[in-house]
Parts: sequence; C-alpha cells; structure tokens
Amino acid sequence: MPGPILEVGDDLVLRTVERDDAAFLQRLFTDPYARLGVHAGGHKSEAEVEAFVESEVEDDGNAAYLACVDSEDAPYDHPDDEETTPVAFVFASHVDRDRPGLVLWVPEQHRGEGHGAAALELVLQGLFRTYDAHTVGGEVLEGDAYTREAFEAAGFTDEGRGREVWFAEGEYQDVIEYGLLREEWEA
Amino acid sequence: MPGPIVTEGDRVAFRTVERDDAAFIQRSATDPRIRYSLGSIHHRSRAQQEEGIEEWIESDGTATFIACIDADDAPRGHPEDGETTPIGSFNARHVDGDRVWLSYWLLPEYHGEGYGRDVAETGIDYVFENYAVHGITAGAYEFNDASRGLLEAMGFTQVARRRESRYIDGDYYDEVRYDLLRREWEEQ
Repeated sequence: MPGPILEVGDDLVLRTVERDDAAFLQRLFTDPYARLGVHAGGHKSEAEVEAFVESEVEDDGNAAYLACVDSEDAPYDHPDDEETTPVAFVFASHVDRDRPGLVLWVPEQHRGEGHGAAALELVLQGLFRTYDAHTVGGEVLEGDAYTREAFEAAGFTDEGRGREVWFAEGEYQDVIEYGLLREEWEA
Repeated sequence: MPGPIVTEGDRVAFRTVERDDAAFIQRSATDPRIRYSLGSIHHRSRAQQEEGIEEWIESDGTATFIACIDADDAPRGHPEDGETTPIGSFNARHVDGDRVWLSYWLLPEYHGEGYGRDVAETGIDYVFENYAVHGITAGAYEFNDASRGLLEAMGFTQVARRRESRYIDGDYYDEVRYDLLRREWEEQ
C-alpha cells in the first residue's frame, strides 16, 4: 500500500511509494507508452520492479509519488486497504538539477476522471515547494493522447519534439517535449 | 598519445582514445572557451578524467575518437609524438540503442577553419555505417551560433526548444534540439 501523505489536493493526495507497491507499478512496464519515461524497453517481473523501487524511486536524485483517492477518514499515516485507492504514479527524475523530468502513468481503469492532470498539478506543487527547479519537463510519445492531454491540462507548453525517437506499437514514434517554467506555474 | 586510425575525413584522422589522453580530453571540461558551450558543468581533475575514460569512453554504448591532424608520414597504428596533433574529439552515446546522442569539440585555436564540419561529418558517417541506429540527436544552447549553424548546414532539423532548461555561463538558457534521420543523411 502507498505510505503517508506528502501533499493534499482537492480530490487527490500524494502518498509515498512503498516497496510492496511493486505489484501495482508492474503494470506501468506493460504499457508501451508509459515505460518510455523510465527508459525501460520492456516488461518486468515483480522482483525487477521491486529493484526499480529500491534503485530509482528511493534515490534522492529522484522523487516519486502515488496520487490516491482517500476515503474521508483516511489518515496522514499509513492507510489501510479500504482507506485509499492509488490512481496515478508520477516520477520526477533529476530533482537536484535545473529541469526535473516528469513521468505520468494512470492505469486505464482510472482514466477519464481528470486524475492525470490533477496528479501532475499536485506533484508540481510538491516539487516547486521542495526543490529549486527553474523549469520542469516531460517527454510523452505522440501516440499517447491521454498523457499528452494531461500535461497540457496541467499547464505545460509543447516545446517541440524528437522525431522517430522511440519504437512502440510497431513503429518509430515522435516524442513530444513539454516544459513549464516556475514563473508560469506561479502566475 | 591517441592510438590507431579508425576512420578518416578530408583533413582529420579519427584515432582511438588511450588512457594517457586524459589530459587532452580534460580540456573539454576545463577550458572556459570550450566547456560552457559544451555544457560541462563540473570541471574535472586528470584523475577523474582517467576514470571517465575507463568508465564511459571505453564502454560499448559509446563511440569516442580523438580528431587528429596527421603528419604526412604518420602510421595507421600508434603514432609517435610529432607524427600527429590532436585537435578535438567526437563522441556518440547510446550507439547500442537506436538513437544516438552527438557531441564534439575542438581546441579554440582550430575554430573557424572548417575542421568542425570535417569532424562532425566524419563522425556521423562512421555512426551510420557501423551501428544500427535510426537517427541522431544533438543539442546546442541558444547562444551557440557556430554549432547551430553547422548542424543546420549538415541537414539537421531544429525540432525542439527546451526553454530556460539549463543554467550555464551565468544564466538560464534555452537548449535547442536538432535531429537527423538515417534516410535523410543517406539522401544527401
């Protein structure tokens, strides 16, 4: 289960990623669009995802969050099963540099309710409160319409692309480069 | 000294990077006339550079060369002092994937004499001939007119502008991205 609360939004909270969330995250690596962001070429076993949590999620150079829908009485502390539902994973790489990069993954059954953009907005709040990043970036495959809309709804600007960078679903796809400046986020 | 010739351009020879070339490669992370436009944030000691050669220049995912001007009688094998003059370096990362990242630099005294284009074209030819890559990406800070002009002259397309994405040389600057696909290079 996700751990304690890090940030509180209107409909979502951000909670820590715990090692036993590997089973939940494993489905990210079965999504050919989502795994681009973590530079994974293919699927992983649950044990491999646990290793990913230990090496990447728990690295101080990165920051990872589970965006959750809490029940009314859910605690700031570790919740029980029925007290929270994780609906999105957001991974920020290189938070110690000028431009952290964001990866968003929303499982299919939680799409269509605005959770993607809301999770990004809450992560931006956490990032800009915590780190002195000047801008935040995100790379999304052109064919990943859901995630592109989420980045645009969260206020990111389309800054261009890389042509035919990543092979997914049978063809080379363009990667869209999104960027957001701190001053734009504060405005 | 650099080692044997791997490939040649019009005027430059690409020789292997040997471990005692650390002091030469170190210039790319120290010389203020080079390192800001190259994006070398951390300057390095010679010992750090030696470790860098072993850790990443010698790794299978990286193709790095020292660009040299050879004397007329320079051997294809290991040259002696005086038989070759190192003038810069060409680096391609991720040659074991399908997308390569390019960088190269020249000592300041060799700028403005056409060596940059010779080095870049020689390296790009080598990459596409020896690795199964689909395309090449390169970046240049917005103020680096020489590098941007060269990329455009060689047929790269400007594809993105990451706004204020890097703090370098005292301010935040845009990083301009270019790319070039194999079929575009072969059609030229």
